[in-house]
Amino acid sequence: MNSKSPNLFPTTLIIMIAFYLILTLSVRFNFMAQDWNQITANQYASCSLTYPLGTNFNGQNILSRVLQSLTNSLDHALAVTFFCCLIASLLAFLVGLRKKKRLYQLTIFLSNTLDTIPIYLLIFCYYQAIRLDPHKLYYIIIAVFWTHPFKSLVNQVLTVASHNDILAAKHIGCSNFRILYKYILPKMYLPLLAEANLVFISTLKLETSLSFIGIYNDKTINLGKMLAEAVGDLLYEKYNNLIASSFALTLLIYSLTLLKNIFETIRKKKA
Amino acid sequence: MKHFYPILNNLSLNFLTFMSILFLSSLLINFEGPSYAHNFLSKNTSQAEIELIQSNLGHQPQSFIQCFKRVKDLLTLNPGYSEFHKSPVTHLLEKAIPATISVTLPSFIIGIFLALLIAILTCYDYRLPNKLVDLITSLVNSLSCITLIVLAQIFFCTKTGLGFFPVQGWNIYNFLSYLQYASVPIFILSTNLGCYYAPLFQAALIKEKDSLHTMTLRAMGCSRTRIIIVYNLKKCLVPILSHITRSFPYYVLGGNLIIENYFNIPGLGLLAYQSCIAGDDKTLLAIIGIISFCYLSLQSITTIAIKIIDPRIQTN
Repeated sequence: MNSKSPNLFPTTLIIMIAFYLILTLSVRFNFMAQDWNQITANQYASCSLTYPLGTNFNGQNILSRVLQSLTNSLDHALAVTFFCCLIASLLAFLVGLRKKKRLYQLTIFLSNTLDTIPIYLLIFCYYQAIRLDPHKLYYIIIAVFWTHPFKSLVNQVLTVASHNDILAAKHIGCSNFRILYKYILPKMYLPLLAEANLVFISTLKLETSLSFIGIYNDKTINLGKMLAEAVGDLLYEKYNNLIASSFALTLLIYSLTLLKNIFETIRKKKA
Repeated sequence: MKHFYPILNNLSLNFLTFMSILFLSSLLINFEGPSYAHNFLSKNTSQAEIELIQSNLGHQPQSFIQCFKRVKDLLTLNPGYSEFHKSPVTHLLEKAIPATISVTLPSFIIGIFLALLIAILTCYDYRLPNKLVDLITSLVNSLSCITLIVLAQIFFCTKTGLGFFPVQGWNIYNFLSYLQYASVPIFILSTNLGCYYAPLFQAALIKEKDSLHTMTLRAMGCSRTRIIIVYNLKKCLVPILSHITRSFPYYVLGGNLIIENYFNIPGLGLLAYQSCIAGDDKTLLAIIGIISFCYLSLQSITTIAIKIIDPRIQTN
């Protein structure tokens, strides 16, 4: 395993979040990448000040498209991660605190069932709905991806709930909500963040792969769609599109992996 | 008898999971999934038009009974006839499974060996190679599978690179042609799998390396290679085996959707994709059934194998 020093944690975290936040906000508030779908130059224009990464087959600015794709991918992954973690943590707290064996067995059975079907096949099963409304793709991703954080969190909650301080709090008559808020939540935020990170990476990779093979929202752009375009450009021996989209995707996943390693290191240290 | 009941319990649970998978997939396909009738429809078609086309094609209306019928057909090994491919589904699967296995099985074996090799090498505590291995594995893991595929294709298959292999296709008639067409997909899959598993195996081995019994063996004068390969690896067999069996059906039978699409390999991944796009729901359901069955069977076998390897582990 990569073991990064926890001293790096605040600096790396702040730089990364600031970078992607500035990028997303600038694109969303139309400070950058407004011309991502406009034909503004000649086909395969070379790199210049106006087009720092050149243009693609249609004469569209590659840099604008990369920035727009990154923002879209980040938005989608963030939304999926948020809902997955919300469902997973709610279920985990419910199962872990109430200690209802039937509910636990049912949720584990459901998550095992969902885990057994390869995700792309499940998405294919839902293909007609996605074709009519591309946003439904994210519903099915949420419906499948909550299982991973749930399995990890429920074990954590069950472990934490058997600690002496929580047992004592229960005996003196503390409500479940108070126990959750005061004692369990402070111990859960690191595992939750680590799981959220994993879901984020998986969503990014899945969305890119699906877009690459042609299952995407045709009104927007994302990195998979850009990579699919870049493959077409290879016939003309033009690599700008490929390099830009691959680099953006790799950088994003690498920084998230780095973040995951930092979380794990801190988690191990605390344990 | 006390070992028999947990195994029976596990088998019955897996059977129940299998049934629920089939029913869930059938339900999704029936109500929201691809249908051959949708090829004749435009985007804003009304429900009445859909029903008219379905009745013209002789399709049953969407219902729960239809779902049960599909599951029953699949359980009786009669998945039906594919209207898109104009062939029985069993024939399609008979053609697709060997193509998938011929690419994914070698890559799976090579990938696992590569991961084990990397994990063993990093246990020797050489600082520079370890850092290099860490860097390479995290970089390959960060690279999306698509980027890896495109880069490998440019390097191995085009005139810009080495140009040794065909760009795509699947025209196998002898071993040499197999090597020609399958080498690049196998390389990509094994590299991806090896770099994915290397950190997991490495973590398991390092945990064992710092244990008391390893220190005792070292104090007794055992060589490091012997300790790692004979003692530590044996101890790590349970996590390694569970990792391997978990991904085996997905990799070997499920094929790799992107790889098969990109290199035009007529395997299960490509068949699933074509079925989805063309609305061939019967083939899609059969593929899900096969993969889930293999996954659950392997899981049951692993549970028994783990019980044999380490009897202390509770099977239930």
